[in-house]
Amino acid sequence: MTRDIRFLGRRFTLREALLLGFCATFIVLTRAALRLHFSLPGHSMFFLTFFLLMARGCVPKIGAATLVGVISGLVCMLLGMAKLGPLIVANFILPAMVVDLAGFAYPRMVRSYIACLLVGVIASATKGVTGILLDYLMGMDPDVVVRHVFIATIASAIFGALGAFMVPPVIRRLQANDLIPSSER
Amino acid sequence: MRDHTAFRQRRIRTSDYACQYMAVDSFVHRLGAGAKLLIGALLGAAAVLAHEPWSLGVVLALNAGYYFGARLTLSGLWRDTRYLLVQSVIIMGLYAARYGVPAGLWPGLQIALQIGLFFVPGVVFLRTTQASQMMRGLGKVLPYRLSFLVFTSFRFVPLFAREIRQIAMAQRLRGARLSGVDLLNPGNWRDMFHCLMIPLLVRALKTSDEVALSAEGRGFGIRPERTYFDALLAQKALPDGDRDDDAPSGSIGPQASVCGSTDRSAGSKASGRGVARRMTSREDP
Amino acid sequence: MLRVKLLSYTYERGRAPALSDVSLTVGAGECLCVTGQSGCGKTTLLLAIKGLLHKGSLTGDIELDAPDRCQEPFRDSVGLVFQNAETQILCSTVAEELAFGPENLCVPPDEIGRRVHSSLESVRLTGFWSRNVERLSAGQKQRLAIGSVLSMSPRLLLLDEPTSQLDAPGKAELAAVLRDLKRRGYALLIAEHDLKPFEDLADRFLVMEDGRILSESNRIPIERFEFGASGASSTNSDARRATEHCWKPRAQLGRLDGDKARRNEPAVATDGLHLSYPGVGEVLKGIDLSVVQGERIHLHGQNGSGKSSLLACIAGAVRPDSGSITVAGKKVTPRVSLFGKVGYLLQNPQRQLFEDTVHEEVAFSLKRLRLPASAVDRQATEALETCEAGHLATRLPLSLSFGEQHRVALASVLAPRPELLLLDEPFSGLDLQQRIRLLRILSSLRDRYGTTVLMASHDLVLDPSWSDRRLTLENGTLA
Repeated sequence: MTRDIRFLGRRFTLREALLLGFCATFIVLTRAALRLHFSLPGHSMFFLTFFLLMARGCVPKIGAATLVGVISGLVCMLLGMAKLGPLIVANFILPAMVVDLAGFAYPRMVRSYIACLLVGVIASATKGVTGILLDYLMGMDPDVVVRHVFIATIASAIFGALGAFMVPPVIRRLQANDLIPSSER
Repeated sequence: MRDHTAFRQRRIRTSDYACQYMAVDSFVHRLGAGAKLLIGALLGAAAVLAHEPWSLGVVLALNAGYYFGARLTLSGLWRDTRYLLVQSVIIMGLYAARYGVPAGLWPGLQIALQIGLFFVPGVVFLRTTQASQMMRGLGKVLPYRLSFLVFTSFRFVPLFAREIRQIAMAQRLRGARLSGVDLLNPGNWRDMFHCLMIPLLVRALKTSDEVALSAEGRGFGIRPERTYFDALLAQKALPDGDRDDDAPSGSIGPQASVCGSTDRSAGSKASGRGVARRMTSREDP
Repeated sequence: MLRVKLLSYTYERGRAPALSDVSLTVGAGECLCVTGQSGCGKTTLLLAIKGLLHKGSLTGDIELDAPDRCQEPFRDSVGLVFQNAETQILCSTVAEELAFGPENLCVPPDEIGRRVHSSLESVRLTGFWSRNVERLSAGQKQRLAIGSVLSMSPRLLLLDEPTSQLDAPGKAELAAVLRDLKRRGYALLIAEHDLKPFEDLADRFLVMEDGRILSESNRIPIERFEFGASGASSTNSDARRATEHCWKPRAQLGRLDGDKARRNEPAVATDGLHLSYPGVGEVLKGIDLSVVQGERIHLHGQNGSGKSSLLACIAGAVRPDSGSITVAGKKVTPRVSLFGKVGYLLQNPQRQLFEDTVHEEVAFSLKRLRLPASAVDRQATEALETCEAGHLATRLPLSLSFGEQHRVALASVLAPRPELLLLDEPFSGLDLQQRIRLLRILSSLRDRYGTTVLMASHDLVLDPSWSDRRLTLENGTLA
């Protein structure tokens, strides 16, 4: 019995897939915990970018972050935490795709502070995309749309960047302990 | 271990979560998840299209009817929508800044209301649909291996919540700055990642090893297809003595015996999920 | 049923073989117990028999009488129950969990229903059909884990340390379930430290060391695992040596330094402590506790009796509904920090390690206490020496073995020289040698620092004379 159980187009092993599932669990949990204590706009980006980048660091394969995004969106929905309804899935998946793309472009990204910061900002700025779409649908004045999205995004981007900034030291320590692979594929 | 489960419950219960399942019986509760999503889509579209005061009024009335038709409460509505208030204030402020005070107020209010109404059907969906119902729906839509991942992540939510609480408690006694007050100071956030997140990730790595072995040991993934067993359906066929004795003695309503717990928050969310799988048995190609 | 011949296995990155030339047989209706210290290869042996070792090099033969009923390379006639019930349960409700295995094997749903039903009966969980797994006790979870394997109708059952998380009634219930299974013709292979519960269940006992089988006998290998009631009847030389120079009962204890022993002041005092959780009810019902400075207390009680809650209250991590707690002369309130005064060791030490080196790990609290660098260094080194972990100082904490991590975590808790040490199930996961070592370390604390030790455990301490007092917590009250 030497075969591995593979996931999603034979991309992930069962173990990796489960680990990504747990990253999603953490996103959901931290989101729930933060909602209890703070009501700052954009704060949920803090842990979202952190765990998306961690997922990328723990399973350095394309698609890892996106899988985490999909699972966490769905689990949030199961727990009734998705006050935006189906939009939450987009809210999770877009940043995840940014992380995956960045990982594709620069595999060693998770070890670099600057790269993480940049990815964090871009990933959390995708929140603005859904914002623009919604505002536009509602027939909001284009002038106001720009300012509204700017306000909504700037908070997310700051939190996202902060969350991303915490990734490299954690990744380095886990790699130093040989707990996660340090060579990127 | 029971004691830790418990103090999680205390904290979550005293909080007032928005969008939690309400264990009452109403025609909306009895609708299928698909029907509710369809109604939601229609109401959402109506909110997008309603620009005039009268049409907005109609949509508002429809949504109110939908919300209260589901026997949801006014205080519930406040909890569900107060997050949107901040949003509304920002939008109205922006409009006022752009067009001046009397002129900008109405369009601002209109947009804010539209956005609010756009979200109400989703709130009703979450308030009237049990996790188990959603899981069954997801099981139909998603490929099995993906839904397995989603359900496993879901199953481990309480376990990791307990884990986080334990780690935080021990590290605080070792001097880590992890209390709520400490975390208001960004200077202490480093502690959260080092003292809390590293042990947590280490646990996650270990747990994923163990869960993977357990799944593999029970034949997960050895065949491309699998059968489906419906626990609820099979339970109904059992003699009385074998019925679950866990159903709460119900004062909650006719649904209580089926749906179990009164809320679905992280604390006690899982108790009513006896009905997670599909009704029919089939083999996936 | 099972014949293993000259089985050897080396892990992919392992230097020494994890198993070497292991041969054994288990017949139908027979129960074989494998025992040995942590890391002796017990778990690897079970994984090899189940066929879950993919990488590394495996030589030798594993023969099973029961032919596998499915074409896939999967040994469905062997069922493996892992050590940690909590993480091997994959579904949210009992019935789903039991159905998980058969579903994967494409058993028709009607047949699954019958199997789920009979598995529930076999593990004595009838009536738990749609119960949420989070609401089960540790013992019930363990039995559910066994049931979830039984529903795949194996002939041979492998169990990896099934009693490690269980209290006495849980162990008894488990043994009864296994006895039934054995009578019905299942072959059982159990890897376990604590053989007492299986005394009249097991037919033979194997002792393993470093991947080899040392001996086989029909009785519990007494000389290694029986630790006499008071240490006097012990035939184990290690245990005797351990008892010789430590854990003097309080009565024999020499005078403590006047400064440290505030004789008349209790180290811990609780008065009318009540704690309840919504949905669970009252967990602590008026606990009045008084512990003298330097006392060693064993807080005994079954799972769910409120031990952990009591420790959490004393540590100031949970606020009681009513009642007062005084620790080291200070009243415990949310605003008083007990940091540095109280040490608290978690059940699983892996949960509190995070630094780059063991030394830094231990020094963490000291730095947070803003001690001068020289004192930090001295106290950290001293704590490591106390915990017999001085040689590990430069290692990475997260890459150590379980036993080593346990000692490092203890050192990190002890470094600030707490007046009170709280331990929650400190023995779980440790083998006999490690347990003795832990007791030895804990005993030395009083002589050196006058530390009060409050240990919560559902097991009896190896040597009852270690503790000055044993308190039994039952349903939230002290008996």
